[in-house]
Amino acid sequence: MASEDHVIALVLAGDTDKLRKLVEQFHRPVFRFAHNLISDEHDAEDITQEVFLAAFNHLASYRSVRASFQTWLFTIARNRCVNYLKRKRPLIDRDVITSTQHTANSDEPGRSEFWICLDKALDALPIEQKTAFVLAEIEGLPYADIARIEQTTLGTVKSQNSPRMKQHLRDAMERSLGEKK
Amino acid sequence: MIDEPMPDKPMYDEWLASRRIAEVPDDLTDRVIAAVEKRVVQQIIMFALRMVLTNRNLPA
Repeated sequence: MASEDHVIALVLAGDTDKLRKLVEQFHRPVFRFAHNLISDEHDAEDITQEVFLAAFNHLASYRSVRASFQTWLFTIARNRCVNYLKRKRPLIDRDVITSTQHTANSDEPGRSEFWICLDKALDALPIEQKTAFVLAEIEGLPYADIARIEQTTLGTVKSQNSPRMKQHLRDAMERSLGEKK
Repeated sequence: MIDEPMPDKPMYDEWLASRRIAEVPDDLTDRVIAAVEKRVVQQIIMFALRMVLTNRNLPA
């Protein structure tokens, strides 16, 4: 926390080396989070860029006692991605998405189908559940951080989002396994 | 987080692992920094312009 504060103070004072270090440290998780949410690499790059621009514009208002810098960046990224999905989602062809993402590395046909099924199940989740799932299962964030990012209560994250998401994905997996048998 | 054992858990874990791998474009850091620096320059120019205009409007 203290070191983050120190780096941010230096960035605000015009230290471009520290700015570069800050971007280098956090651009990968921000990009990964955006990519997992919106499934479009180029738009995820644009959103990553927008997140850092917005963060820089509001850097003076960042307080490390409220949240870690990564949590703060994820909050900005989450809001950008949700706005993007609300604008774009009706136009997205899910079959196109799932055929272009995360399947190239799967060399077994069964596994590939299984992954596509999971991709579809994740994509079909309501936006709030999808963001919570990505933050919990892929980014490995604690519920308290997810609640901050989602701007909701810890109880909501625990009791509503995750069990439903798990059930949805579990159902999708069971359907996939049933089809393979 | 998982209440019941997932069917075919290893494949589920592999899928999660595949989503944790971010193929970040090589030039993304440079692009982000360039965009931020451009914004800083714009802010400095705007600040300088405001100062000039403010001084111009001051009584001699």
